[in-house]
Amino acid sequence: MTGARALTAAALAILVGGAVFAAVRPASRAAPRSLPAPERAGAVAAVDASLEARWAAEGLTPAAPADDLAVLRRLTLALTGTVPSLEEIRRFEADAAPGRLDRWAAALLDDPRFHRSFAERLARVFAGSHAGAFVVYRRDLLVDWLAERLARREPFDAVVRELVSSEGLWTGSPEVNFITAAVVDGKVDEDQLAARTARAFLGVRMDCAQCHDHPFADWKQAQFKGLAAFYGGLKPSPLGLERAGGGEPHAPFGAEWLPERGRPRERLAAWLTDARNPRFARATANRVWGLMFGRPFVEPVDDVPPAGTKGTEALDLLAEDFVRSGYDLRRLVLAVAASRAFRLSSDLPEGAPRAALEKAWAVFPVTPLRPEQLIGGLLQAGSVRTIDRDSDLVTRAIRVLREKSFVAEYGDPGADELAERPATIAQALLRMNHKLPDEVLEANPFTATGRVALMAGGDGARALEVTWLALVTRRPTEAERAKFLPWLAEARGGGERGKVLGDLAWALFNSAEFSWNH
Amino acid sequence: MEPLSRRSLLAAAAAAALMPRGVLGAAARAKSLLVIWLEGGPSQLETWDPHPGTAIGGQVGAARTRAPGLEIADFYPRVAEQVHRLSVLRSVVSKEGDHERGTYAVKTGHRPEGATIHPSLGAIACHEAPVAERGLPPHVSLGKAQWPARGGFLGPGLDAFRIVNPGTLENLEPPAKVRAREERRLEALRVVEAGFGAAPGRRQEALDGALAMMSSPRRRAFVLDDEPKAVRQAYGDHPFGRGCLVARRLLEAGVRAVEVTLGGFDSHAGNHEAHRAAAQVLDPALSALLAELAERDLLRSTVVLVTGEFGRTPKINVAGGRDHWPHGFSCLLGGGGIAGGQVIGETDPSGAKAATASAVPVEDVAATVLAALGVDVRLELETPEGRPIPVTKGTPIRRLL
Repeated sequence: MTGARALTAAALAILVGGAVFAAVRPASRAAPRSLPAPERAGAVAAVDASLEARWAAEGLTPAAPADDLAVLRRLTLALTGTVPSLEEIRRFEADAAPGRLDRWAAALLDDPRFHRSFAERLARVFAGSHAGAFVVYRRDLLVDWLAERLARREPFDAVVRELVSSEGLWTGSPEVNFITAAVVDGKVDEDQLAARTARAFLGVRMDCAQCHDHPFADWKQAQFKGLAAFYGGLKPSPLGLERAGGGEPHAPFGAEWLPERGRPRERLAAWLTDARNPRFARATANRVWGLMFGRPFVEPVDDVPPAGTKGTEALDLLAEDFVRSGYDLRRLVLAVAASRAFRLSSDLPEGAPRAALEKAWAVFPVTPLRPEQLIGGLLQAGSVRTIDRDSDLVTRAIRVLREKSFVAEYGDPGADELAERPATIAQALLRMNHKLPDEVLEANPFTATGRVALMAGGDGARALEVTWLALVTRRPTEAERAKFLPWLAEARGGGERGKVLGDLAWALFNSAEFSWNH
Repeated sequence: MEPLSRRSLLAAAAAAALMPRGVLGAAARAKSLLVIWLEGGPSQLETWDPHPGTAIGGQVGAARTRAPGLEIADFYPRVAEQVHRLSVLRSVVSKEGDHERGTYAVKTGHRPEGATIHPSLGAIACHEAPVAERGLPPHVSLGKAQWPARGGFLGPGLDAFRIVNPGTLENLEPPAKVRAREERRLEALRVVEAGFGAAPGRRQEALDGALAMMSSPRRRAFVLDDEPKAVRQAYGDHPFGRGCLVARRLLEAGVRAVEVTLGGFDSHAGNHEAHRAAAQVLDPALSALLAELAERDLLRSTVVLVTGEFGRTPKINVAGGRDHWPHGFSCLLGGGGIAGGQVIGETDPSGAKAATASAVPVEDVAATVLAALGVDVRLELETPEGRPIPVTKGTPIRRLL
């Protein structure tokens, strides 16, 4: 244990050393002013108009616009899975030109943290989250493969076609893990793949139709079996996937889009991503909305009503633009990030009808962070510099290890990450009493808290500000300053000041403000 | 260490005669579930279904027990003194030969399918008979379980609360070196919380519950300082022994469902040695636990299930190991009104694949547990999406109830 701690401390020292000077003082590094302001992507104006019309019709007064730092926080959490680093906050604040949030959103899409984090989210949907050691290794290959495609801006329809129709061995062709993740006892479970295909790519829950006709939607068992037959008779062999036998494939709807020729899975891939299939784009838009807001536009994320359903016009608009853009996932993400709904505050005046406003996207929904966001946020807050691909290998290795074990203890949400879960007592206990937060947040020469205590010296106001920015991406309120400045002033010596700051960092980490998206 | 004294039997019979039917039903209901989870898939042949002297039997011998005709592997001399309190199921079958899927099947009584995560038996027990008192979690998992029991679609609030290192309070108290600063930390937390106005109410409950647990005197059930040394020694000075002793304390304190996990059974190589090593831990702990449950009259109100995710192949492989075998394995089941001393089913001494005509699907084991807990096996539970899911697809084993 001591060894691991020393290693952690060393890694944090590398991270923190030097950078803290720059970050504790207002930005000395270049702000990304040189970045071109991205066009307000496609559907933004139309989506705004559609939601505004709904608010007017329902007599709802939307929340006030959120503070830019609050938007930066939710944007960074959605796209990278962590809170913004002090370094990033300083650079963001130094950027005074209009449209800085749009610019930052666009810049984050080129950040490897985004590729990695979004790839992980998508991999869970495509291949589940089974934990067997061998399967984890396979999934990691799939995550790498997806991250690479996100980095090189491959159109999303092409990505899905590759997944669905891939051949070959899982080692050489990571995308084939979409299929092999459904191998049970040496056989490809076609029903599992059909259910996943329907959920992930069509936004349809057909699972119940596996055994009987769907009780309340109009899915019939024959439709499910027809879909499953595209994956029928598949067997992993030393040469890759082989098809022997299998039933007669049928498209569950839109049979006219199904190519007549080709291998069954090639035909299915073409049918799924055909521009005439509105369900593919709507399902993707709903998922991206969910990943950005912490809550999908319609719930559950993978049971989306058909195009044109009242109340889901925004999804239609985003989906149409997604198809028009040639399935450009970044443009879709940017459009959601630029929408008025995404930039609204979570705060409401006393007595405002929160439930009704949340339902109509007239206030930013307050949702619990996913475990990986919570731990990512914690580790980032314990460091001054941005933890990313450029961070040294040791730091990243430690981060990955800790993320995995903490996520396991915190409760892995599995494949269905966007289903909202109530906060549990066990999670609150873990946040309060687990040794990891203390290791990361305690003041010692190697942690951000320790460096801040040292650099700020007797300047309590500065120390508070930096601690608050690092953890909750805002400055302390008047009430907080009034309460905590005397604590710091009364502390005798740097060591004691560090302890007070460590306790304040602990309190911030345990606050709902930290562990809930807002 | 008599099972049940004659006097208490008579008293129970007299009380039963006087009580109206409905009340008797309620009184006869089990209160709690205790699962002893043998992770990795224990070999039926080296535990509760030895076949010494046959081609498949390996090197283990058989030990007589207090139940007439029942013999178990002689790795377990102490359990042999206690096992008559439970029944032995020797022809359990499952369709899942993978650790994770097999665990799911046994812990929930359902095959893993689609996106619906079924609740574990312990979570169902908590859901159907909620524990009123605060201060202790209703569902607890002790030890290093790879797939601890979950709440599934009943919600993460019914996930088993994990104590990885039994005997300690783990996350129920702050790390030692910052304990003195807890007051200041909580005061700071109150100030910060007061300033965050978004969505009040929804999030306060978990924090309040956590603080209640941290300050509750009931949490002492998790630690062993007030247990006599002799008792602790009887269970064994290792995490699993401590886990079993903590389990007894938790059951006494009114916890609804407890699982204690022991690993080391996945013996693809060196099966005999692996099972001998595991038995040195399991034998004292399980026997002490069964004896104490009986002594303290907890066995009548606690359903006890001792099982893993599957058994191991009758055939011994070239590495001296046994591989995964869900086609006829053993578990122990009893307590909570379930008959003890029974032997259900048998396996083929020649090791041919199909278990027997008397095969007991894991679904039926789950149904028996639920029935003993007083859960109507025809009950349907509702998922958050409003989909009704049968609590079990199995049939309770009549002979045991």
